Amino acid sequence: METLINELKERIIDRLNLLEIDPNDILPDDALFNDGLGLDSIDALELVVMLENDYGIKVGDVSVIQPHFKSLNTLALFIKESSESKNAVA
Amino acid sequence: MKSCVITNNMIKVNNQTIYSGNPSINLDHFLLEAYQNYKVSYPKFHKMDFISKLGILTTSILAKKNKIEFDSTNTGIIVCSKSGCHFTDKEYIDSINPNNQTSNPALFTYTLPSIAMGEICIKHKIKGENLYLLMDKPNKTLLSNLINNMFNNKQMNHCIVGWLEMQSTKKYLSHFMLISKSDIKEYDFNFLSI
Repeated sequence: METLINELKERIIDRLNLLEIDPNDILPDDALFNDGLGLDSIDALELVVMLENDYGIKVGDVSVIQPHFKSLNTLALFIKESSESKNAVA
Repeated sequence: MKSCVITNNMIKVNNQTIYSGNPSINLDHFLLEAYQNYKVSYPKFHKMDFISKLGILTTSILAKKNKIEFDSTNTGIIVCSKSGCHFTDKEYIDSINPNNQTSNPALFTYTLPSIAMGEICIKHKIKGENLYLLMDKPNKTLLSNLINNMFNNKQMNHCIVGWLEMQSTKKYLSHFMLISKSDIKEYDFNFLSI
């Protein structure tokens, strides 16, 4: 999980152009939206595109994904569980 | 009259060149250099398209180098352009991968001509009258009338007027002026051209 969280930090900073954020300053349980990292609704859409492009996770209903975007921890857990359930089906 | 121009990797304030970036560096690097050099300190800048970045930088440097803060409720803004957001529209179309049907939401939000003016208003907390116009070239008579209307009928005391034109990363011009009610009635302003 730690590897995935570190990977997510780099990808989020790169994809969302957070040039003034140091990856070491983002803690796994920090809020991603509003307070914390301060992401907005457009950033949320970019994260949905990232999930699809980089992790093969298609999001049908954006409102369903909302709880998983709470922090890096919840997002990493969602990706891990989605990947495991895909492998289980295969 | 206070002004700031950014064009050809160069910045002029009140008709004096204050910064000349290396003409061979790309626009992305030049804008980042200028952003850092003038300590604009606005993280959202990095998410913007080139046109909004130009507008933010020009107005921020206009304010900084003239040591002013825009009056939030009594400053109006008029932004004009010939090409609008056409450059960003094309960037967006090029970024969409037709095979995977992927999109680019962050860039899509900038496919609207007046969004650059909106970003300027947000950054500088401008809540006065605002107007965005598309025209072949700056129409001084029309702009003078609009500015006078802002002053005489809309209770504005200042007006930011800008020509924000981007045709390519080598052909761009962002020219903003700050006009106050106390300035002469027949505004003697001349926008540069690309």
